[in-house]
Amino acid sequence: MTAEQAAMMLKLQQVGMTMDDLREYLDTHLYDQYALERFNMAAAEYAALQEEYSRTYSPLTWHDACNSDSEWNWGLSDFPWDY
Amino acid sequence: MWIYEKKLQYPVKVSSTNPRLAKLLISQYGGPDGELSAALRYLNQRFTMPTNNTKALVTDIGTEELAHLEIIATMCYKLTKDADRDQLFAGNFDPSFIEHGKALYYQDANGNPWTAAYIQAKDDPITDLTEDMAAEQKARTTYNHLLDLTDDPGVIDTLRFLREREIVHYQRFGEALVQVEDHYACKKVF
Repeated sequence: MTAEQAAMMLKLQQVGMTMDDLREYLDTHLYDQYALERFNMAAAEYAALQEEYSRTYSPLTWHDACNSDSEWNWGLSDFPWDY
Repeated sequence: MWIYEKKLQYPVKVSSTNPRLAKLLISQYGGPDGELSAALRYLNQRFTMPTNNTKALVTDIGTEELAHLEIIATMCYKLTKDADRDQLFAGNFDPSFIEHGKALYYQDANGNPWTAAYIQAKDDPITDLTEDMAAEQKARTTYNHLLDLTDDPGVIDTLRFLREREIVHYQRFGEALVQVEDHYACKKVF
């Protein structure tokens, strides 16, 4: 994994973690406007990062496994414990 | 339905081969208060939770525990994958190696296999959420014990993250418990 890809993966982990934490918080604070705004901001940022990462490097989920017509890159790209 | 992301929830950095540490960490893989127990306990409780937001909470925390299971597995794998014969002996990893090689196995640090007896399901959300709070504290204590015996800086960083999540989940379950008690109090007809 290149330094650029690693940096983008770290960003995905940071924004993903923000969403994980806010999601559980919102499950017990259903009408917290500030948390809702923060979640929606993080979700939009994550979607953009996921799209860019999958297009540039390799698919994050099998939903993203469509950046090539010639190979099944979901099955070709590394798993997290190998990079 | 679940969708897998090729991404660890938190980065794992292991400084050096250390099968002895892997043998300790495996307790949070398949031990009584480990991540497998946590994930299966919460996901199984979803069906008898009384409100949608409590179902959402045990779904989301149970799913996060699966991500923690993968983090523990990644650490154990990286700590053992390059270990030679001498290192396996020195790390007291040889008994596990006989049965499983370097494969991960759902067991505690003493080699006891995972059992469903570690978790409960009582069809009483107040009881179940109270068990969940205790489970998070037991996991937090186990992470404390692991941190006491770990000197790998990368592993310490990841263990501190996992310990922090136990504290957050304890807080969320506590909030859910109060809400479920209120839910039943409101439903009473005199």
